[in-house]
Amino acid sequence: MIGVGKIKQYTNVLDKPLSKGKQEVSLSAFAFLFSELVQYNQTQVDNIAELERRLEDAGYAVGARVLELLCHREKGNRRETRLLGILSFVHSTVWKVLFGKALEIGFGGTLVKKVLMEVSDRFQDMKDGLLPDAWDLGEPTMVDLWSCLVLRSAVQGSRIESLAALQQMNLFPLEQIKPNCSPVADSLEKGTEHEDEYMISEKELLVNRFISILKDMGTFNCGAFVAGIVRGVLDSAGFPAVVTAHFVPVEGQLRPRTTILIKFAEEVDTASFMSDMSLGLNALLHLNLHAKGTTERSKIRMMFTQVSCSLSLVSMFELVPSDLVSISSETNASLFIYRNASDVAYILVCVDDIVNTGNHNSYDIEHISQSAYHVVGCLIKDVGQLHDFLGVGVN
Amino acid sequence: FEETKAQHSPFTSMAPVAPRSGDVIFASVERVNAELFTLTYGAIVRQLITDLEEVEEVNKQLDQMGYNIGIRLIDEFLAKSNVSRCVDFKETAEVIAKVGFKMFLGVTASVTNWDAEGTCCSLILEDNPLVDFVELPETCQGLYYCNILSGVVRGALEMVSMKTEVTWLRDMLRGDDAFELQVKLLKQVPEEYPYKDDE
Repeated sequence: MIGVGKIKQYTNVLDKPLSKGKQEVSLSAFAFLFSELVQYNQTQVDNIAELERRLEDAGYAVGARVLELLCHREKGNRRETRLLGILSFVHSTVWKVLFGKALEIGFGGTLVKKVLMEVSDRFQDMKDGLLPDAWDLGEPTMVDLWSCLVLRSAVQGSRIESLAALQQMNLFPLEQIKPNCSPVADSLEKGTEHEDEYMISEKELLVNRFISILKDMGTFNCGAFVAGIVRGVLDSAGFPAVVTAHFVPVEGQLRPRTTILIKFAEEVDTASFMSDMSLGLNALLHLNLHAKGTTERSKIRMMFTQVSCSLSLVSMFELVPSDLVSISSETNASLFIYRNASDVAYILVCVDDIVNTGNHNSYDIEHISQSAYHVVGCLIKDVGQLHDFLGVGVN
Repeated sequence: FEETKAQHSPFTSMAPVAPRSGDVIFASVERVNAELFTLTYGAIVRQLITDLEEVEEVNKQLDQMGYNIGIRLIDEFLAKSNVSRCVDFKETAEVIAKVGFKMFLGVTASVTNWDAEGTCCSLILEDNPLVDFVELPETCQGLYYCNILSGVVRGALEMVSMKTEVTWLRDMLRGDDAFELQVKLLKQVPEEYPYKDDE
């Protein structure tokens, strides 16, 4: 290969082995580079909006490449098809690789409120402890919503009639079902009216650490670069969105927090996100009810604890397989399997269809399905025997 | 020679502190993922190519950006590394290669090809975080992708009174086996004070 005409001495860049991604450069090198990027763009534009747009475009290209790199390296070429999955990917994997830490993702406060209303409607005694008005719903996090949804599942699905009964179920301490109250600016409250808006919030973006914005630049935020990265990742993954970065002043802090606001385009299905989560949770919940013996119960409780500690709901669907519940498919997060010595039941959730099958002898699949339906809140017809599914014939 | 030149940095004027090696400094500074750095640099180069279209213009702009970085980078370098004044240009080059590159880019360079007078040398970089994942397309064959580095070196040295010319001899993106940066000392510029002692 060496010295043969114009052939490059190193092989094609695509043949080079991919690095593990552990190499580092100093923060100052990056900060200098970023400042040059901003300064160069300042010379090319007339106004702030265009400057932000250019920074965003630069970030977009980075985002598209980051998605490819991380999908290949970290996720074994698995493509996210669910909103929940891609959001988790962005706020944990992408953020961890690029900026060194995983974050909390928040979303429309109205969503949490809605769930809580439904829950508290059921019980008078719950109303005292859990009414939304009692707290200041600042930036509810994934854990909060998750907790609320589990509670709702527990309440609606199992027909629990009182708080005491719920506590007896001993799933997790009820104290956990309270949002963390963090002060949030008025400007952001408006942003949380819509259910298709999600926020990634960070105390200070890495790119903004050494940048101070002139007063006459108004609301300009170099975080537009990071917003562009997020938009690039989401767009390339098939979830078109409009992503912007905002400063959110916080009382008591000199530098404002930065929030990345993600607003998905109309074609992205944000509704299925909630029902998927609910169904999965509920299935787990009811397996707990049917669990025979304390060891099974404690296994499920451990799973719930694991889940409540983890901010990434996708990992919930990939719980440590046990002989009780396992996710058999690496690519499909909606297959639930219940298995014990003599029974096996499979529940496949697919957007708005549920397919269940298994050895029905002593395990009541009907009950699970019924309970699951309650959570989704709509009547689901039992269409009987399955003849075909997604274009595949079944017999 | 020594008396007329002023101290470069107020931090090194007190009791002599041993210079820290590149590895030690790199371990003590805050670091970010090199891939973010690589991809950001790629975005910059792409923006320049789209805006300027002429490869030569892009090279010049990259060099200018590097120069802007270099004139500020030198302060941080001197503050963090505690190097004492370099006796000659040979030492300067060694310090750049071993300490400078290491503490900012996390890679060390080697210094070779000294000429007879000791004013011209080559810095060889085997590993370059700027060029991970990069391949030059046919339309940009004249591009010196890493030209920002030459600007950084030039700018930094200018701030410590050395006027240099920095050019690329070998470029891995163009098919060579390493990156070779030639640094030629043009002249030492005595430091100018903004005021005169006795006008």
